[in-house]
Formats: sequence, structure tokens, C-alpha cells
Amino acid sequence: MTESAASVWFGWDPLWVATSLLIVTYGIIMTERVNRAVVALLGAGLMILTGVITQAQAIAGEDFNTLALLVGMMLLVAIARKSGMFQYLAVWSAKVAKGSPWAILALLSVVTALVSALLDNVTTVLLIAPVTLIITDQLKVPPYPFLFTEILASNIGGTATLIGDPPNIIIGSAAGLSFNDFVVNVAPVIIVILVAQILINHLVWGRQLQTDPAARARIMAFNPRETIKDWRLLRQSLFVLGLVILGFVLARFVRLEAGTIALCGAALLLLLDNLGRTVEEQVHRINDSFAQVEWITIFFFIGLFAVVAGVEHAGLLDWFAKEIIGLTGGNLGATALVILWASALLSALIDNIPFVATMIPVIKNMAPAFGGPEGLLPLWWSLSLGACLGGNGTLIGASANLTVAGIAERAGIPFRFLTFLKLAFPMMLMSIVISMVYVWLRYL
Amino acid sequence: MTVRSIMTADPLTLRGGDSVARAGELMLAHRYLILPVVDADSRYLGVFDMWDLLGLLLPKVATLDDLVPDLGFLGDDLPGLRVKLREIGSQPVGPLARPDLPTLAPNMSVTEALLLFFRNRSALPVVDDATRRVVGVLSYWDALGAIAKDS
Repeated sequence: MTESAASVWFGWDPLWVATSLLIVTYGIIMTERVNRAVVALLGAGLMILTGVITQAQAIAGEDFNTLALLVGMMLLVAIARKSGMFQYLAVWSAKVAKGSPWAILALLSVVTALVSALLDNVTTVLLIAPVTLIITDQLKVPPYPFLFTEILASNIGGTATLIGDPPNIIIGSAAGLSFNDFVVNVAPVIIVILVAQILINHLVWGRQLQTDPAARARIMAFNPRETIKDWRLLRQSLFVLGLVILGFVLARFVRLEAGTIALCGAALLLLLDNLGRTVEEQVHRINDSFAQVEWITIFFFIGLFAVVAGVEHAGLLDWFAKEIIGLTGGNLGATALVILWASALLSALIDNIPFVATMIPVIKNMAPAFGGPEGLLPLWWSLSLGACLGGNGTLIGASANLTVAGIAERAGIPFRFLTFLKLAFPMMLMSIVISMVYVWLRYL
Repeated sequence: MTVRSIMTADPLTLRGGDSVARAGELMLAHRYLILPVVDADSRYLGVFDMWDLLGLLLPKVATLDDLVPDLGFLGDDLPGLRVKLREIGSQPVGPLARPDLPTLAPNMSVTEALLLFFRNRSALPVVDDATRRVVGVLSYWDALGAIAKDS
């Protein structure tokens, strides 16, 4: 057990204090009665106040690379979205599919997955789902299959890259896995899962998606260029997003962390977007961009990292790692599959971010049993696939699911927990089975 | 000067079971922007206005906040809009009536009415608090006209 540098209240066992604080913090987060950022920050504060960890240890537990990557990408998206580029892709998909509802559903899935791989999933569905509802309104087809498919596609696409989903960001940062590592190791299986999901959706919904020539003509009359609101900003955004992605690809060669690249990209786009404007205009626009950073998520992470640092210093996660290895007999394959399935099932029900943040030190502690950090790769991929894809299992499994459900309900389209569960949960299980086969064949 | 002294008394109202098509006909014939909707006992239910009618012609999601910046990418589709107008025409206005728009009281001051016009940018029904019956409608034109005339 790691010795805590601080002295715990009343001489209590730091392991029990830290474990209790972790359970209470996560328990309150799960009730969703109190804002999760506030709970995580209070949990972090109590870890320090009760003496489980010192302030210095709490700060050392912060993953500043993750925080910088999140803030940088949020800023980039907040500015780039104003150009209308993402709505363009959705409208363009409908037109390229020549008004065929099934082809539009398939293309929108691919576009949603691709955009989700590069942006956060909530932003993606916030941009794509409203345009989808207009397309289905024009086609006079039921919108539910389209929204359902987009939810799955956003979570599937987000799994493919380092920056697609917060669990990947923290896994990548903690395990030293690059953008390219995710593309090479996770993206191939994601393509298979996405294709399988589109085919199953076709089998389930295909017959309901019939339209008439007049509706198709309405779609063919769409003018995607009209979705672009600011051509100058579009060119600037494409340039900077291209540079940032190139930076991610070359990160290892240029010895830069992803967080540095994202924040530099955000600063460059802020500069370009404000060139030639008065100081007052700059202040207004930059304030507006900063206001769109999801500070609740950022402070949630800050609190969470300190809470996890507390339980790690107290020795809980080392103990938990040894228990898992004991349970699986030290077999790497069995451990990978336990992590994959446990991550998927838990992520379908609870927030996957605290789970992943806790599992990272657990997996790191397994390194000696599996021949060092290199031996942990199948476990990292299992954690990523399980935690990200598991979110598709229920309506509360991921933020993107609830975002789409909220938009749908407001637009008068019922989006019920059980209706979603009946189809989404089996499809999530299918994606985990495909992932299991993939991890087994490729790494074990 | 009170609202009662300048309002249009006994205005045209819609019954909850009247159709959207009927509301549209009245709006076009009289150039009314709002029509109070009442129940079978003539008690006030809410307002159905021109913006509610136009909103029914649009995709619902486009009428919510700023989820869709604009509809510029849709082609010009007058035949489609005519079909939609026919489709929505048979809906009853009762469920569509909005009770959230503030109402004026007959003995309310014109200054208070001006504030409600300023905040809501709409003509407003005048409803008797005790009986919940619509006793009039006051438009911002009527209010401004009365103020200008007195001066």
C-alpha cells in the first residue's frame, strides 16, 4: 500500500477514508441531483481536507494534457461551427443520396461517425440532428430511425480516435497513446461495427422509409452552399482544423502533447477570426467563444482527477488491480475481456468518465504482471472500446443520447427509454462481441 | 385612461373546436394578428396568432430556439407549402391555443398595457378576471392612436 504523505483525520485508515469518499462522490454523481462538477470538486476538496492526499499530490494527479485538449477542441469547435460547415455536410448527404431515405440514413450515419471522430459527440449531434429533422420533414418519413442511428453512429465514431470521446482523451494521455495509435488500433474495428450497425438498421427500418417523387424533388432542390454562413471563417476553420489534425498525426515526431496542439490551434483560430476587428469587437467575440467551453465538464475532470489521485495514494487501486489479476489468474486475455465487458455494461448505466478515470491507475498497476507498459495495450483498447461503445446501450448511457432525445421531444417526437433500450442494447452487445473478437484475434 | 376605454369590445373569438383553416380565414379577412380562443362556456383558453399559424407551416425543429440557423438551403416550394396549409387546416385550434401570453384587465392602466406590449410585441386579449370571459382585444395601434389623439 502506498504511504499517504498527509496525515488523515483522527488517525483513520486512509484506505477506508479514500474509499468512502470515492463511493459517496460517485454515488451522488449517479443520482444526478447535484451538478457533477460541484460533487467532484467537493470530493476532491475532502480528499485534501481529510488528509488522504496533500495539495501537491492532488495537483500532481491532474492530467493537464487532457484538460488542455478538451478546452482546445471545445474552443475550435465553438468557433468553426459558426461557419455552418457541419450543417453543410448533413444537407450535402441528403442531396448526394438523391433523396432516397435509406441512403440518406446510411450517409448521415457515416457523416455523424466521421464528425464525431473529430469533435465531441454532443456537439456533433447538436449540429446534425436538427438538420436531420428538417430532412425527414421534407421527405415525410418517420424521424426516429434517423435519430436512433445517429446516436449510435456518434458514439461509435467517437471511439475511433484519441479526440473523439473524453474516455479516449484520458486513456491516451495517461497511457501515452497517440492519435495515430488510436487510428491504427481502434479505427479498423470501428469501421466494421459502423457498417454492421447501418446494415442492421436497414433491416429494422428499411421498409418504413418510403417516400414519393415530390418529396425526393424537394430534397434535390436543397442548396447546401446556403448553409455556409461565413466563407472567410470556413476557410480559416478548415485551415486550422487541418493543421491541428496534422499536428496530432505528427505529434510523436514533433514531441508535442495533444493538449498543446489543440490549445495552439484554438489560439490561432481565435487570432484569425479576430484579425481586422476593433478591440471591442474582439473582446465580445472572444468572450463568446470562451463562454461556449463546457466548463462544467472541465471542472468535473479537475475534481475527478484529484479524487482518483486520493484513492490511488491510499492504495485502493493497486489492491483492486491485484484482485482483478487474481480473478483472471493473471491471464492477459481473460483480463482484457473482463475489462471490455465490465466497461461496456457499466458505461451503459453510469457515466463512463469517472469509471475510466478510476480504471486507468488500476490498469497501470497491472504492468508488472503483464511484462511492463507494452503488455498493457490490449487492456487499454478493451477499456476504450468498452467504455465508449457501452454508452449506446441505454438512453442514459452517453450525453449524446440524451441530447438527441431532448431535441426530439421538443420537436414532438417521442423518445422513450424502453423503446430505445429494446433495439440499442442488443446492438451495443453486438458491437462488444465484434470488439471482443477483434481484440482477441489481433492482440491475444 | 383605462384599457376598457380604448379596447375593441366583443371581439371575434375562436372556439376550441374551430379549425386552423377557420382561424386563417378570419386572420386573412380581417387582418387580425391574434384571435382569442374560448371553451364551450366562453371562458378564455389562450391565444392563437399569426405566428402560431406560420409556425405550423414550418418544420417544428426550425421553430425551436436557434437549433437551425436558417432554412436558406431549402428550395422554393410553394406547392409544398400549399399542401401543408391544407394538411394543417383541419386541426382544432384548442390544443394549439397558448395560455402563456399575458392578458390585460379592463381596468388596467394604459401605461401598464404599454409595458406588456413592449415585452410581448403582440396585441393582447382583455379578459375579465372574475368570469374569465374575453371582453375585448387591445392592439398597440389602438393604444398609440388613443395616446396621439389625446395629445
